[in-house]
Amino acid sequence: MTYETATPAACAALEALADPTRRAIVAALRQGPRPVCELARGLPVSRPAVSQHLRVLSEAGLVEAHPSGRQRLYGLRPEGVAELRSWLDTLWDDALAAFGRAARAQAAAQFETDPRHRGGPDDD
Amino acid sequence: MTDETIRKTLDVPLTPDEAFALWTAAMSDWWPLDTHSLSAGEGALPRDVSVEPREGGQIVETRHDGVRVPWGRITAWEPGRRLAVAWHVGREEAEATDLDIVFAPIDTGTRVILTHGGFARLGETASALRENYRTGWDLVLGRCFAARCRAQGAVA
Repeated sequence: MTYETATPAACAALEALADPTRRAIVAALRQGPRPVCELARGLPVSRPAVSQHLRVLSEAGLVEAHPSGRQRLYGLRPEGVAELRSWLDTLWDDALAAFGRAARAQAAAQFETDPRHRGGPDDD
Repeated sequence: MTDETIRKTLDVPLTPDEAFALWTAAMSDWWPLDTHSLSAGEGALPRDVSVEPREGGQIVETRHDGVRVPWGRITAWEPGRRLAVAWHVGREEAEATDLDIVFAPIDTGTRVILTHGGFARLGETASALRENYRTGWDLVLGRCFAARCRAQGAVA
């Protein structure tokens, strides 16, 4: 993977979400923060495995832990999801920028071939 | 994670009819195929990307190896006004998201208004984003995104 060398936040998040168990954890956390034991109850994996997955999700910036009494509650980190959003946005930034260049080139070509403009001032 | 619809606008110095034609009939002339295509995910240039000009038609990439892979199905075809696509690059058609492009006349030409939404329908937001842009897009956009971040020093 080319982006492993760069590891921007969104790429780390994508890689973390490549695992179906971690996606299931993210889905479960949509309802609100949960302790590990409660998450493990709803998943077909052991509690230590859930802890390991939570660590990966935390490192990827998608999940954060908060102490609550004697236990730790894990919840989704909105900023992590926002980074994924902005990553998706770049597709349309790139595509629209390319479209804009093509549109300006076509407009300039039409201006030059339009007899009303031939010999007239240049389009800047 | 409340409103996850992507919105973009761009003003271009063409009439709405011209802009619509450029977007559709001439898509392979301007779309950044070298970075934003399924072939690019494998380090190659696609042979073509074409738009079947009708409602129900498809946007199809002809990959570097000649295999034709649909990117989306056209759900609204209104020349000079609007193009809507059930967009499913790298995914099954059943898991498409909603791409909508409006070509609105303005004094200087056309305002292109792009919205892309419907991710929530796929399930939890983060997973949906991931799932919807799996395969080629991950590599392609991951590469682009990484490059952009490096270029702009904008790594969060």
